[in-house]
Amino acid sequence: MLELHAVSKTYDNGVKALNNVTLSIPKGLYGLLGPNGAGKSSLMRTLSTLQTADSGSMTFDGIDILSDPIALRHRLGYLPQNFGVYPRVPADELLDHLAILKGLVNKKQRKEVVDGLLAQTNLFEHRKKAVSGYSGGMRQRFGIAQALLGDPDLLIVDEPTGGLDPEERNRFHNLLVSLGQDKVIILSTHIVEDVSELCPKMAILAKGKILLQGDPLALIEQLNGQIWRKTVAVDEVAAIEHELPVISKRLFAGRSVVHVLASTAPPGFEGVTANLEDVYFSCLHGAK
Amino acid sequence: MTTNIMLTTMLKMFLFEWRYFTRQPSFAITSLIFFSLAFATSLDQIGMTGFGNYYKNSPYIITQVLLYFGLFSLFLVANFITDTALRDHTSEMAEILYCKPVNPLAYQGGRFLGSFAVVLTVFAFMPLGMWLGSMMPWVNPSRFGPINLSHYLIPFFYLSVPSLFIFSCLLYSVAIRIKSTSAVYLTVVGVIILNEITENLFNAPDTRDLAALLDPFGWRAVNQITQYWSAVEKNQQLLSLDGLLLENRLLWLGLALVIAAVFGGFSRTLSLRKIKSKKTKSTTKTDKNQAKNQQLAAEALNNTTNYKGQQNVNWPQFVSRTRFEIKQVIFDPAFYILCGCTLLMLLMIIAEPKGMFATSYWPVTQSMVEQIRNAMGVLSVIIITYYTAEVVWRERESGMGDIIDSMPVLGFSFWLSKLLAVWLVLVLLLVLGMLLTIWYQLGHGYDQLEISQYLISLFYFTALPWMMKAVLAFFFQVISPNKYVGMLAFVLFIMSDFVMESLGLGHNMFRFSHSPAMTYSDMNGYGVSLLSHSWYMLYWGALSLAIGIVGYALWQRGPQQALMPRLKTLGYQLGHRSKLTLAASSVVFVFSASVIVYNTRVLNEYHTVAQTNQLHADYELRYGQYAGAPVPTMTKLNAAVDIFPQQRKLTIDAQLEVTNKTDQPIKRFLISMPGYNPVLVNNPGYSPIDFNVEIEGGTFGPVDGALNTHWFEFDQPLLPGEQRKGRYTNQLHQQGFTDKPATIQIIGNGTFIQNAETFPRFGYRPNEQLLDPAQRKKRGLAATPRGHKLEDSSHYQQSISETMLGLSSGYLEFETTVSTVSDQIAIAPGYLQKEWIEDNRRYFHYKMDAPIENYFTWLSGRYDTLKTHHNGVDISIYHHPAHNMNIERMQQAVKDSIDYYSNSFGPYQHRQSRIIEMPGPRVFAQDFPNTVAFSERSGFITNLSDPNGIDPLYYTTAHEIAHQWWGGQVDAANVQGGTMLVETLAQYSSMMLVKKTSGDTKLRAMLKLDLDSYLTGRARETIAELPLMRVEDQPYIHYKKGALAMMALADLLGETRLNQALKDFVTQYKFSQTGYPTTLDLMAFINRDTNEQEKVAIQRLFGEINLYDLKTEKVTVSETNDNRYEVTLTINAQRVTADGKGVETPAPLSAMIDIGLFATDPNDLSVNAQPLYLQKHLLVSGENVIKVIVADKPLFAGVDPLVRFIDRDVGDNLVGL
Repeated sequence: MLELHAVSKTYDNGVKALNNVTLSIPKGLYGLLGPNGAGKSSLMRTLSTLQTADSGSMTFDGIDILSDPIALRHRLGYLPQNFGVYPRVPADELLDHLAILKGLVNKKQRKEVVDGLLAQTNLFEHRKKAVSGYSGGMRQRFGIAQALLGDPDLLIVDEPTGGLDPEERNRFHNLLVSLGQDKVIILSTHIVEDVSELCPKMAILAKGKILLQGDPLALIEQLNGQIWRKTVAVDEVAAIEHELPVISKRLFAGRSVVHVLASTAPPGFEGVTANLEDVYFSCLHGAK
Repeated sequence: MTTNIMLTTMLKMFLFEWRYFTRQPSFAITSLIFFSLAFATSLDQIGMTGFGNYYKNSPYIITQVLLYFGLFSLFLVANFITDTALRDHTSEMAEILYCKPVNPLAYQGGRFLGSFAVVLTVFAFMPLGMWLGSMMPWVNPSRFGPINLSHYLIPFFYLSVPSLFIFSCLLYSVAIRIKSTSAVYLTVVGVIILNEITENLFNAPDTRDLAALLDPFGWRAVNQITQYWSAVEKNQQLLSLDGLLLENRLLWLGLALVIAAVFGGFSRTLSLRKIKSKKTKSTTKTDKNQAKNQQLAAEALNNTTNYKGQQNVNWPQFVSRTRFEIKQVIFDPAFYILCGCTLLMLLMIIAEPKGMFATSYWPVTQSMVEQIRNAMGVLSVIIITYYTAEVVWRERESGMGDIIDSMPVLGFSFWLSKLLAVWLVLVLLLVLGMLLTIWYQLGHGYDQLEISQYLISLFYFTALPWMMKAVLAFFFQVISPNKYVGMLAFVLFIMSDFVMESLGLGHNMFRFSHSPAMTYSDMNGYGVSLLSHSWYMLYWGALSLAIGIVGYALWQRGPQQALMPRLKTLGYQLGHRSKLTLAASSVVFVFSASVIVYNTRVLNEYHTVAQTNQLHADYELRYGQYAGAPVPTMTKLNAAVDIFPQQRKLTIDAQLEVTNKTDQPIKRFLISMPGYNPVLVNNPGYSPIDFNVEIEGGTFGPVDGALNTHWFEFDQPLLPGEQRKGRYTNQLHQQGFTDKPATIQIIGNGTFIQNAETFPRFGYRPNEQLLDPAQRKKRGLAATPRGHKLEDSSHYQQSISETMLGLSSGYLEFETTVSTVSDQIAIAPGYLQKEWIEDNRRYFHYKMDAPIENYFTWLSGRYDTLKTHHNGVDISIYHHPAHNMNIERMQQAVKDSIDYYSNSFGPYQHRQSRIIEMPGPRVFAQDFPNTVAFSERSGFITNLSDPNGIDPLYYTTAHEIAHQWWGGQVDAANVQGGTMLVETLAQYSSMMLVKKTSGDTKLRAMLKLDLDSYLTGRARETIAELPLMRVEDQPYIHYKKGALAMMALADLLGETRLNQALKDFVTQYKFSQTGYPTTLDLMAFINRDTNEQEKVAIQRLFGEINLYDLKTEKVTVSETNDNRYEVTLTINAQRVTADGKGVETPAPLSAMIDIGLFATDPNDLSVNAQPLYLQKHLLVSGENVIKVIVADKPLFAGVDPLVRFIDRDVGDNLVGL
């Protein structure tokens, strides 16, 4: 559905935000995973027609995004990573206004959509309050509601679960999955769990380049039998890192759990079943 | 120890702030702008209109320039200080910073001072630029005095530094408190508006001290201090930090410090601002409500939400967007504040008298409209600047840009909806102003509302250009990297207008959204200005459209992008339709430009100020040598004049007779075409082919190009005393429209045209010479030529008098037949012999029964007439039918004048006196033989209903009627002092009449205003002030000082003695054919029976420039044994004499001066304060103690209470007890 070919973007200050990105994204949830500063937001903004690419092409369902942004915008839902709202405007009014901008000009339909989305995002009760006075989580939910206006075929959500509590996050995930049947949904995140829970397809982006893309299960499968774990004292980690390709380390009960990528088990290491996190870290490790 | 740490922290914070800002591009940009603006003032091409004609590096000019740009500094302060106040907040650093253990005062104070230092530095580029500019090799040495650093430092440190500090404190406090940039800019708007309000409220001479104190910029304090300074003082004298200036500075600094201490948050512990828990209206929802809400929510959960948006719904989107933008603007506290300020300001302006002597007009619609336009002139720029910045940056500031911009909405919808919102604000404020003035009109019983005039004047003439400016402001914002640069760029652009004229770009085609001035009069409506405005609006409209299209193509969509990349995609963004529109608007632009050029430069001539100056210089260089050459005098005239008001055409065919009144034969002489404006230049559609002068025995030579001058050559010289017949023909046709208002007015209704505009002038005309000393020097001309010396008797007899009439003067027999359209009345001097209708035109034949001065007029209009017969004189008032409010009063003034003047100065020479109304924009009255032309704005619409007000109509009428004696019966020789004989004596006559009918209190109020005008006038003198009896056509002397001096003289000699002298003077020189009198002759009559002391006093009044300082220092009152009151006054008296440049020399004083005691306040015009005591006492220099015993208890006492002496501070003459 969404095809990116050799998309590059360099900012005025010389930062190469996107470097020859080529992706093919089918319908369904698509996870875009990457560390901070990887270029995720640049890619999201480019896809959302907010900025242009220096080179390359992007098409969605036959629409050339770069030359016909308005056509894409009709089918786009976008939740930016950071956003604010106009001061002093109540939620229902603001959503109603955005709905018109989305093209929902039929008054009855619009009312239905606005109320429905506010209910789905659990904001219905607070619909008469100014969005600018909302808490972070509520505001984020409002952002989700507006992104769903007009039943977009391409939904781009940039770090959506940031301010949400676990319950809200669950609810949002369910919503995304239920929507994922006939849309392209791009979920940009640095949280591996989000992707593993939701996305049948994914890509890893770092320093503006696509490092890896595919089906998470297949990617995990490829790593199976190559991930080894050892629990050591914190001060031993440096020595291990020096000798072995450590892809991740995390603390557990005051000791370090070290994951290593290797074809055979290093001494003292035990085999573990690979997960998406291992895929992500091994990929980033490999890029270093 | 702790203070030490504190200081270190403070210093660090200071330096941090300093480094932060000096790295920002806005620092460099703004500094550069300020520097270049100031530096550019050194160029000769940059004239600073309105700043006066002093050295460009004089302390006065530098102060004025710094004060002028002080208005800019508000934006400067707003930008930097707000950034400092809000940066922690906006950059979301607050949480990190505020947990550090810093002393709040050191932290905030250091940063505040750092930011203030940046503001100071940027503004310091202003004096620096001027200083460096003054040392450049290209400066015109005649416009620069010696370079003196203190000229720059004193105003910078006394005015700029404190003002910047005051505004920094204020805006910092607002920013800290309200945490909003908009609030800061709104405060800026508020400061400017409030300042305008206090200026309007207190601009009467008595309240100017208060106004000076209330000005946070200190500008009015400076103006109040320097208002009477002479050119010498303005060029040299530095401000001293005392008196009014010190009080002003201390008041505002104190206020600023209090504001900063209370609201600046310098002592508050650093903490995040609590999020205001705004109470929503329905927080106390009932459970039932809540249950219902939950039920609704549950229902809503099942709503279908996957409706697809429709495509091509641009219109509903645009409507919704517009409604949204309007709501954002209108339902914002800022808008209500703005409305409140506007209404307040307008109320002040309406309530404030507009006419002469502080009287108000009837609330006629033209006056209401004018006041709305005045009130909102500056305001509109502020509104456009502020709101444009607000709406253009709204998405980016609120953080909603990404969401909004990714919506399927045309960029055009965003752009236009925002523009509409700003337009709406402008229109709404005008509507509000209109409603207020209508309310005012109805409240004053004026019900001819003329809504169509409101609409045309306010919306077509006023709002439309503002709306175009808004488009431009949008464009500036769109191409600017931030709000601040956009605002500054726009304000600078608007303010650059004041140098356009001096750069030779004064044509309205170069001044964005300007058009020729709107001229509206009740008599003639908009005249041609409606047509010219329409073409200019089409021209600017096309340009605005183009700017709008490009601006929208560069519109920021998505994350902020620099201008360059947006420019690259311009072509793509424009799209097909926009390109077509752009092409169409270019066509319209070029077409309307051609029409304007054709009208203003082909059909009519247009000259820049520099070109006009050059023409005047050329004239002098080429013909100056013929100054004083003998010319014939016109002694008989019979003119057929046909006026075609609708075609704006007038034809003349005149039979004339000339006489050589000189003692030399005349072989040839110069003839100038009657000019319009500037006088040498033939302005509207003049066809020289029709201009012809024939005199027997001579030929009329070809025109000398641009100078519009011909030679007339006699084959047979015109011998002394010889008379010859001749003929003059001309056709004046005003075609199309002009860029600057044409002074000649052949118009639909109310044509008023004088002989200077219709008749050729004989001989060299010294008043066409260039006068500005600097301009003369630049063109290599000698110092400004002055009038003929008073003692130069060779001009007493000469027939060529330039002083008052600018013509070859002398008496002539006058007869005219004038025709006009059938529904108008045509009037000219003389008595109506016959009136008839022929070919649907109305003819009038007027003939004068005795020779008149070479000074006549033709008028034509649709008039109603008020007639009466009084003591053998027919009195008629010809007026616009709707202007009948004051005609009876006017008639009374004519009767009183004729009675009093006939008794005092000798009989009235005519059997008739007519006053004819003429339309605005002219605001004056002018006398002609048995005829006075009187502007509708000079009395017909004055509101005389206030019994306590001064009656300017009565006074003006009396003045003009007095000219039938002064000017009509006695004319003056062409030497210094000539205008005193004509104008000062007319002033005296009318003032005496006012004194008789209205009393001393009102006369005193008028004299106080005259005194102020005289003192201000002499301060603006560019060449040299002269004593009254040597005045050279200087209105502030012959009108203003003249009124004071003559009233003082009347006190000195008494009315009877003075009037007898004047009567004898008139008798001696009435219609003199042999020689004209001078002020020496007048003085001889006045002095014929005076004693030595009186002679000295008269010399002080007329022969010298004297300034007095009379001050009542102390007054004590004690009751005597016989229940009377002994009043002891301590009076300090000083006198100085001044030379023409204003250099003062202390001089001894010994004069008889009034001491007065009053039971009521002489400033209160509602009571005609009768003095308890009013006697002249001998006062000498220094302290005088005077004891007076009166029967009643006085409440006011003082020296010269009736204002007869030239005193720069009359406020301290009288004290209340």
